[in-house]
Amino acid sequence: MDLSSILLAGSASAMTSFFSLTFLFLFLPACLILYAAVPKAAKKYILLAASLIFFWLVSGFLIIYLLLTVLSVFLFGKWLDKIQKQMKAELSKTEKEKRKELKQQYVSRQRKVLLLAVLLHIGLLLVLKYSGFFTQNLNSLLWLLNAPIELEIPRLFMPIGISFFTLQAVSYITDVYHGLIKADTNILRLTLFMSFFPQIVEGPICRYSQTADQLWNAEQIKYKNLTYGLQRILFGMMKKIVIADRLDPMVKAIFDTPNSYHGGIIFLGAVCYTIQLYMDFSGSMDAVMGIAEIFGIKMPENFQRPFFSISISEFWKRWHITLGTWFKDYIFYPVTSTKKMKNVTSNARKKLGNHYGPLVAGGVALFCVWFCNGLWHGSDWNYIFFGLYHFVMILTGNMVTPLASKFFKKVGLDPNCSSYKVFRIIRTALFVVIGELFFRSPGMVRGFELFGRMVSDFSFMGLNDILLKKLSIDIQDFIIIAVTLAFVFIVSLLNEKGVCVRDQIAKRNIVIRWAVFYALIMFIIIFGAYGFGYIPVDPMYANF
Amino acid sequence: MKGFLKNSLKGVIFVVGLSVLIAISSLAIIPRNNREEDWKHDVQAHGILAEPENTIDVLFLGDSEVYSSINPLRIWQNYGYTSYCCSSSKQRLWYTIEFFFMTLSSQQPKIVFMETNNIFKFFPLEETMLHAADLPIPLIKYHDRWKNYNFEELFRTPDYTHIENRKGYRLYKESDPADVEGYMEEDEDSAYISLTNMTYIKIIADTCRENGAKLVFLSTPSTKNWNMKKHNRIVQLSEELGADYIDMNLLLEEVPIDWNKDTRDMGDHMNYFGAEKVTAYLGKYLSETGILTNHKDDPEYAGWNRCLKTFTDDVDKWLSTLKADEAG
Repeated sequence: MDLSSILLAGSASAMTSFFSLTFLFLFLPACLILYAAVPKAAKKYILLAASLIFFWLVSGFLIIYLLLTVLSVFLFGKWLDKIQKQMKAELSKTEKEKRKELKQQYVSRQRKVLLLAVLLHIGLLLVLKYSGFFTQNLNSLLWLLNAPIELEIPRLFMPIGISFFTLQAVSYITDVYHGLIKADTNILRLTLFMSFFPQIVEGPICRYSQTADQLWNAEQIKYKNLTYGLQRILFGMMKKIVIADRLDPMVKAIFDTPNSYHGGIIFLGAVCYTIQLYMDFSGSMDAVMGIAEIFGIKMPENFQRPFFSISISEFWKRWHITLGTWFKDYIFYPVTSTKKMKNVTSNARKKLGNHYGPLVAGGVALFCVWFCNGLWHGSDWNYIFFGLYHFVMILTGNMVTPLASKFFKKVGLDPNCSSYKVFRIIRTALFVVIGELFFRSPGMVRGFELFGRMVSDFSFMGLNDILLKKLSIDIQDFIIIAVTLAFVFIVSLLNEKGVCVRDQIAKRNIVIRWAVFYALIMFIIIFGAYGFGYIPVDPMYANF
Repeated sequence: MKGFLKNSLKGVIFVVGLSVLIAISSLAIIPRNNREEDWKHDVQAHGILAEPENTIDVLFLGDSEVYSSINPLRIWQNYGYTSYCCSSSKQRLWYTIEFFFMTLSSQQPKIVFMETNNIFKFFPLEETMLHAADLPIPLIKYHDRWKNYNFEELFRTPDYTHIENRKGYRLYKESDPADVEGYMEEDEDSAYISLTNMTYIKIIADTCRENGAKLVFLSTPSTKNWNMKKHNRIVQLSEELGADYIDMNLLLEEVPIDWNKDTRDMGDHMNYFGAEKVTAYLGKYLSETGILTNHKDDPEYAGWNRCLKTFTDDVDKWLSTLKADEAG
């Protein structure tokens, strides 16, 4: 019997949630005490040890995947570095006119190494995450062709966070290739960058240049960082435990048996799911940021109040930002900057003009981005549809923008007026909810069925106390959710206006400050959805 | 250094203030009664709170196997011993211990039976931590009471009035035959008991010893939950702790379970007929210990006779309908 199985026992691995008691009251304090106790030079090793222990506790022997990934990118990095050094040395010795050719040879060698590294890591992710999906679809195809074969669906063990650390690995090796960063010569530093425990389960997906040095030069815990970090954890906890977890039984009930409900209830389910997902994921991110802040680490933000967006395109610049920028930097730009695409763009510019011209190559790249985005979220057609739905939305948005501007000019409307902005915010939210309906549906066909019912039978008939009881929710739950959402909205609004709420609180006297903290803690303890009658809900993005 | 001390002191004062706030809120939110509407979970098991002080001589602890298999009213009817089933569905050992200590606050049972099924149930540390916090901080357990909280409660002290007529037993009338293939097949191995569970068992055993109560491990008949590996481990455990052990899964003559008729869910739990056989054996066992008093004629225990009457009336009515149905 090992410690890992004690913590992992039962239906859920408690440690994957940063709001679990095991994490908050055992693991984290132990880390903080050890971290604070050792001299500065040893702090990074405490972080490294904590990260590896954490990953072992949540993934057991599957930690081998993480370690092999680190070892692999470390070696690939060194290989690229060696080629780059050789190139530099050779170039300095070569005559000017031959340099271009020589450089191309070396770049080509580097490209092959990069390709090998990317194929290896993405290939492993594809095998582990998608082989079941591919085999299932192959079986369906064989069945359609009346082939008397049925392939066995592989059941492979997949470590938590593989979708996150694989992207970090690819970004590291690609950045080395582009010369944006130097290949790390210290495998321990690279391991810490890849495995830092607050971010390994749900991200954010960090770049080497953003966090590796910060982590390796870990500083003493500062009082301000500690209090600010704890406040952020508390805020995230409120989002997750009071709102997201309270909505979970209702969302589950609606999506598990959607045939029992009218379209209005399904719509309500989709809205609640969207809120749940946002509160769960952004709440967990608050915890990640808060924990990192305590250690003095500044991580890239993953959310920037996405529901203030006026278009789907803007929404995705504010939602899961690090995934979006990863796709932009490692898929969108590489696709659009290929020679072929550049030619396509310049030709299209001539024929379609400066706005629509770049949209041709951009559209192809955008398609790749959103196809991958959908697939990254899960191995099912509804996820692919979810990605392509956003592709269509964003592309359409780009295409109609000039037409809309012309229209507004013609009718004399100001597109920047606040009422139109509010309309656009609501419209964007509605599009997001529709996307999430497919995202949450068990399969794409089912998603269309639900959407069809939502549109054709939009009625809230039967929404009474009996139905609410069936949905494991009551009017008091809704009141608490509404109050908490209002609080989150006010904080978000202040943030949107550039006001840092934590700074504002810090300026007040101790009585007010403590009153705010006590109120928040008591609010979470009393109104949180935990304990008797509640099933603990794992962080939703840990499954992606 | 000065700044560090100042900040540390601030932290300590903050935590103390929070503790006071939580303690006050806990006092305010503790249910004032043991009725369902007062947010007492597992209201049948919590019925023991309303039993007059020091009137329960035998305590049965455990999961659904207990409330399905043991009928305290039959023991009362045949021997005049008072007993109670403090059992709940899927009861984990942290909950068993909670019921045990709750009972000890008002009762002094002479014999404590621990049904063995939940001894092998594994649960994560997270659950242990959450429920370890329940005892000193009732606010954690009862926090959801805000939904039907009545501010009048602030000025009332707890007064438990809800008496469970069936003393924790639940009557199951349905039958669903069991498949007995492989049931209690010979096996030399022993099943594993987690460290956490062992800690809980030892606490219960030590507390029994301190309170002069006899501890008995009891395995009620179940084709689904019981096997020789578990039996072997409980034999070792009972020897280690100096406790008695009754495994009804091996008492084929003394507890003649008909697996076609006496189970409600294919061998998982007993139904009424199975419970009658289990209870009959337990009654005999209790009488043979010679440490219990027959309270049958004690006027202070008159309530038990009333409960028994209600129960037997219900059961007789049901049995006669059943008989008529079978005849018809």
